[in-house]
Amino acid sequence: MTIEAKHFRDSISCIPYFTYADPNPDFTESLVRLAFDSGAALVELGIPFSESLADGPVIQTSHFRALSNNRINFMQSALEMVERLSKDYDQPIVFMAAYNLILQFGERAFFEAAKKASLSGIIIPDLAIDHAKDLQLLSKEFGVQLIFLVTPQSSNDRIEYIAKQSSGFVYVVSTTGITGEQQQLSDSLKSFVSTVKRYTKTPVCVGFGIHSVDQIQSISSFADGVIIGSALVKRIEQNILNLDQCYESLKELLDKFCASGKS
Amino acid sequence: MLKQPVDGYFGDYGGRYVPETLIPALDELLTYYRELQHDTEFLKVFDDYLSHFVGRPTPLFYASRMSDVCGVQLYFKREDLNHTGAHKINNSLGQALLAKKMGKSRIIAETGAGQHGVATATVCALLGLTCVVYMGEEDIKRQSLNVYRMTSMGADVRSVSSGSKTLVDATSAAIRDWMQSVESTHYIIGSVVGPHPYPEIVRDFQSVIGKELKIQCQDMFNALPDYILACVGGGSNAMGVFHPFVDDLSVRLVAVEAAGKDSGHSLSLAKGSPGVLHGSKSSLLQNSQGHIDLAHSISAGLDYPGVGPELAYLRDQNRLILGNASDDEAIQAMKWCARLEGIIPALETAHAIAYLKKTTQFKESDRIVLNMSGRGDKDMNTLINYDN
Repeated sequence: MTIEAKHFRDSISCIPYFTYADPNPDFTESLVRLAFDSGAALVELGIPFSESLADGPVIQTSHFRALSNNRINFMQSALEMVERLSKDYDQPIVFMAAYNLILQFGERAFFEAAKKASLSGIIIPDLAIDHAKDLQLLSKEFGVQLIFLVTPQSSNDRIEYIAKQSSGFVYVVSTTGITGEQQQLSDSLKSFVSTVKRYTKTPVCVGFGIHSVDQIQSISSFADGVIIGSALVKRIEQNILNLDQCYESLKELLDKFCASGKS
Repeated sequence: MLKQPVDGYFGDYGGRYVPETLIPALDELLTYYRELQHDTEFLKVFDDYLSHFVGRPTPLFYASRMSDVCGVQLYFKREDLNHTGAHKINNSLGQALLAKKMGKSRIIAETGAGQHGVATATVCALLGLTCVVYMGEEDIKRQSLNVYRMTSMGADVRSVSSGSKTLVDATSAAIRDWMQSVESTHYIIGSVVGPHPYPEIVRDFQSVIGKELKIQCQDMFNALPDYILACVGGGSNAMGVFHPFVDDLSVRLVAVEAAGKDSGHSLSLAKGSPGVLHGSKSSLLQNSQGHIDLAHSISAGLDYPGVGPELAYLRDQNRLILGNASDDEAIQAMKWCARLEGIIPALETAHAIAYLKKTTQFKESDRIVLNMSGRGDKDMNTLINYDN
């Protein structure tokens, strides 16, 4: 379903990220259900790819785990899961996938399949907006939202342009570079988010580096949603040998992150 | 106003498929490059260093014994005689000078065989820049001489242990570093790969090879060569020697890739399909889902599952003849060249020599220039181990 402002109604809208099939598809499905049951506003799933340029060591390793443990068509399998979940949950799911994965699936074929599966949106981290015209047309045609990233390094002109083009939400990268827990979020994050909000009414979500309740609460005071990836994926890595324990550990973390500040 | 990229494509190939974080840096690089590529002062400084530091121009050498054996007229363009022993320095020098103009104080690089790493460490020492080189763990083992050279010149060599632990992984690691350091750091990509404007910049800096060659051919035999042979990993020595001849259709351009062995190869041009890797659309070895295949070659510099976008384009335009040589053929060719001409080629270059040795397409009257892209000191261990 289309991502709208209503999905970020709560005072804290938590968006967990998981790498699909880390370490197997069933476990990911159980985590997505858990996330929604714990109050997540939306879930983001990374499709495994070995050269994920925007990812730091924790998420990179999760990609390798998924790739080495499974001999499946990841995109197909993930889409099937989304279709199943759409019957039980109203909350949106979005994918993060490297452009080459979309290209090989077939750009039109992907948007068509995404629509059929009720996938709400797609983030393609290595597709700069300059190359996205064709996909933007497909996104409009099939109603699967194309979410763009904005970073503090970009010029204001470019930030404005991207903010206005991003559908679903605008993904603000909290810090220079790659995913991974940051000890201190930049002071300029708040002013960067307000700059973005000047240009668009589309919800603005912040990701990369967030791992504590304090950070989530602080960011939620000026952004519409908070994406939490490495902190969760690291927990999976730490408990990978015992998936039951892993599940319980994640439940605790998701409760902490997603339930805080629920209205 | 947002500018739509018009240049940066070679037909359908090229582009800049990178995370948004890198776009401002690529814009900046392009702006500086467009200004400096025709700046006589900048070009003079570059030229002076090429002469006095690198040792250019490199000779065009008539290989008489090999010519007799092969029944052709064979010339070597001696890029192995450059300072640091390969063609890589032409590009590292140019980009380091560019980086200084941009006010960057830190340089990062990826390296396969280590020659680009060495060249980059060299120019950083020359120009007083901090240098970090990413190298796959496997490559560090097989090219340890080059690792020592880099560290002795003050470079920080970082081992990459993810994935296949080779060039492809080192490239990803370098890009990730750049994503976090983009404001202070220039990334010197070592081949004609990566997002625009890199394939163009690297090709242009390497074109000194082909430009010199044209004049040397004129001087030596008052004609253009019939064939130019070059080994292809990413494609920098090939594009460097080919580029000034691309419009001279009588000159056939032969691109020789690594056929590896049974368990794997690096035939990105011969067997790849269109895909996006490391920022550009090119011809890749990948599976149907788009996962990048594990390439293989005994030579670290050719062991890469992609290729420069301009080469993919030239291939599609039927401008290239594609050749290949296996690990075994390259090793034999390395020894053969050493014995016949007293030149030990790099294992990468040996692939082009191996192709020359086995092909039957050349005639006695053909003038063939083989780009001797590097020397083989770094490969002596591999040679010794192969025999045992």
